Amino acid sequence: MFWDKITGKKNIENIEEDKKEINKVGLEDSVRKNEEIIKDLIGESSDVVFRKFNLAKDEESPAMLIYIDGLTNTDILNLHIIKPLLSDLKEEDLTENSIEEQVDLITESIVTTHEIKLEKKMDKLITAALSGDSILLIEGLSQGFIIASKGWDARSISEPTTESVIRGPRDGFTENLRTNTSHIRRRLRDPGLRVKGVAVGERSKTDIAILYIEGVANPHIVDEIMNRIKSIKVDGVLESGYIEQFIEDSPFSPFPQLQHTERPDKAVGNLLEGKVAIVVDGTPFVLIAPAVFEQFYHSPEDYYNRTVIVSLLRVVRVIGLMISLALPALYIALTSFHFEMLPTVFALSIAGGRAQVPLPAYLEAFLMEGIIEILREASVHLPNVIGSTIGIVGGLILGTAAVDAGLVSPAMVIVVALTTIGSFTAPTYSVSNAIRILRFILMILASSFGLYGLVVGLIATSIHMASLKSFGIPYLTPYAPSRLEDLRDSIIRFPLWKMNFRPTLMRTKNSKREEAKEEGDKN
Amino acid sequence: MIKIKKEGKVTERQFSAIIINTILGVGILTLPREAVSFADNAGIISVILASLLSLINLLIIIRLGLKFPDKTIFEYLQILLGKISGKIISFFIICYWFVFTAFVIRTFSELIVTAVLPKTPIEVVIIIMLLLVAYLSHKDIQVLGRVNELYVFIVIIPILLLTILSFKRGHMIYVLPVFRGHSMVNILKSTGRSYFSFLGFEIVAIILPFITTKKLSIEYGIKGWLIPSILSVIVVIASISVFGVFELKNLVWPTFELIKSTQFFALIFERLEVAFIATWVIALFTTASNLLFGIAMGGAQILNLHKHKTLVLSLLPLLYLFALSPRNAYELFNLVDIVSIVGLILTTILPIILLILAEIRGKGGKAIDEESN
Repeated sequence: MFWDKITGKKNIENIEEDKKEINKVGLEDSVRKNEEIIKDLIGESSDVVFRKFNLAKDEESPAMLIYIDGLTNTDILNLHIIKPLLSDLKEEDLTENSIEEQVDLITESIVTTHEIKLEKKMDKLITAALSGDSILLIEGLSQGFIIASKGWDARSISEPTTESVIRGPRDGFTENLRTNTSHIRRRLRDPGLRVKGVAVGERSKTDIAILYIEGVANPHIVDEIMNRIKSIKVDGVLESGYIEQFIEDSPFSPFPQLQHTERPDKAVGNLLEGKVAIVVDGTPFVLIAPAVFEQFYHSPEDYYNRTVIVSLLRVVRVIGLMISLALPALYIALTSFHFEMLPTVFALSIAGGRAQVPLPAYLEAFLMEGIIEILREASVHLPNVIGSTIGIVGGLILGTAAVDAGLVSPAMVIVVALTTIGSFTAPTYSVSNAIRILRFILMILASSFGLYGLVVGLIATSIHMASLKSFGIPYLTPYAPSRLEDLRDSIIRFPLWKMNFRPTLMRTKNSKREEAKEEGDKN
Repeated sequence: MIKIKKEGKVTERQFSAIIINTILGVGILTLPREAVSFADNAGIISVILASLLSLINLLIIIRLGLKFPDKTIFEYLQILLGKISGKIISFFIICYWFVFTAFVIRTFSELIVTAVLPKTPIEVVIIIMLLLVAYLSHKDIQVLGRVNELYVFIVIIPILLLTILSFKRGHMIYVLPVFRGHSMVNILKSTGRSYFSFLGFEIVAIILPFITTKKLSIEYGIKGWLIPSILSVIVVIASISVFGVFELKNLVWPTFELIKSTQFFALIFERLEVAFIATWVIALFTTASNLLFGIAMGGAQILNLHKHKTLVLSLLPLLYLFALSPRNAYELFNLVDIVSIVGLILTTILPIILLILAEIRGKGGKAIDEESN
């Protein structure tokens, strides 16, 4: 019982029962009866509009247009549906023709929208109305027209805020699914690009598009992803994070097993490597699967800049990540266990700084790292106006006041600053979160067992990473299992013309990058 | 018998890495002392002989394993020797590995306690190490292969670098002449003792059925042997050249002392031995977890268990008790000597007997035929 409550099993069962009831309902051939059925199902909502009109001037020939105000484009409704129906449809068309002929007439020569189709099932009609299309009911027909009329206000394309680059395209994904897939299409005019649509969420019925390149992506991985997405049981999908949590392999690992990006160029680059992109309606974050640890410190900019500088930057990023992972733990280990490892002058200056500090080194480190975490969390939720103030206050507290008060040593401040800055060298936010968690575990180990504890913690982390898989791809490729070809795009990025093979880890169908083009030439 | 799917789980490179990491453990930390114990300067020859002996034994085990390409040693022992005697020998091998693992962990814990964490009780150090080892051993063999592959260079490079740097303070006069009128018997005695640091390669007997390309197993087996052997010879030469034979005989941890006395320029850390021990934790941990994996796998195959995982956790307390059984380092070293003699006999004699048996009775060929059908 209790478990059911936690997992929400009951909830989903209820939804399924509701769904069955809707599925049973069919359409009548009278407009008024259908209106009642729909009102019964959809309820009295102020944004649902039932527009009644009469197709024939004299005779009784009622028709009804049902749409959701705000989800539809009123221009389409006025000019392409209602106006032609009322002015172009002649009375004799209705009186002389049978109902089938009327239907043909309406679809073929009256309504001037790009998409119109007939639907028998009530639940499909309602879903269509709820996703922004409009329903047209006419007297004597036990079916309804679904007319495409989607149009709502959306945020315009803007620069991604989380993954900024110096050189590279400025456009980012938006909340609109179709805009997002069009971003990818526009960059990738490959006929092999497939966009598979699924709706997930028993109640939200969120549209999800799964993109991959046919003939490049490994079909097993594509199938696996499709299956996992289709088997999701949830009432609503509000962000791609929902999907990520449902389909990832190890939900309790601190490491992200899917990548998310706001950048179309990054998504396209990954599609070309044989990966699969999952676009979820309502969020600018597109998921990329499978993901290995290697790509979490890659930035799309890496491929736009020149080889040498990129390799240097990647080394810097790895060092930054390592610092943010292990530096506080190393500080604790050195100052409380292995003071002899430090050179004499260095040791003296650290000891001098620590002379007035009342706390042992590990408490000092936990205190400072804790404060930084609080500041970091607070700065996310702060209104922009106050943000900079808090930054200054936090900086003062951490930097000057704490040292002047003798609560922490200056060396600790440097360590904390380096740790925090280091964690932001990774272009992907999710991996720096993983490191945040591990940092504290390593600090606990280092404060109990010194360097030995730190090394044991690092080994345990690496065992965990080696055992992780993302859709069947080992998480630490290309290092373990080693794939020498894939090392061309690891810490050292080879020149683009040297990276003429797709990553072997994906077991892509045609591994050579230029192959598609050559085949095209032959044909 | 329960069949576990074995094909294609460990790549050839991982195979080499497993051999390297299993060989490199505590042995090399005491190797220079063992090498010169009887043979003095000819200890270099002893080490080379020991490594060659281990190569021969390694090749015999691989050869034997290739006769039964989908079976571990514990399975083909039962085919070659019959069910009951096969199981008895298997049990004996497992016991040997078990004691070996326990002493490896104990030896290294002794070093950690004496050198790095003087105030920490050795029990805690052992428990932490055992938990870490069990964490890897209870995973799948693919993970074992990956972790070994990941760490192979992290283990080799620091010791190689530090040893080469230590040559700065070496004197060739300590090393040469290699032969100072020592009898062959003494050289062989030293060989026997040095052989301990090459033990661990017998893990191939259990890894071999999992390798992806069986043809390459000999080539990569040799590669896996080559790196620890070269490293051992360099370490022994460096130790002799820095300390001289007579001082070396009195050092408890000669390799460790060698690194301790090395100064690395332009690095903010002094006393690099702590950093060295930190990397050597990896070398030791891979040795222990590979062996524990072998033990659990073998145990599972003897007892017809489904998974090797079940045994790993239940063996931990026993391993802990065994690791704590020697009262002090002196007793420990004496016991290690006994284990190394057992290892010498076991890895030298058993594979040859088994290979001859397989040749005479033609069992291996049949096994391959069965597999191809």
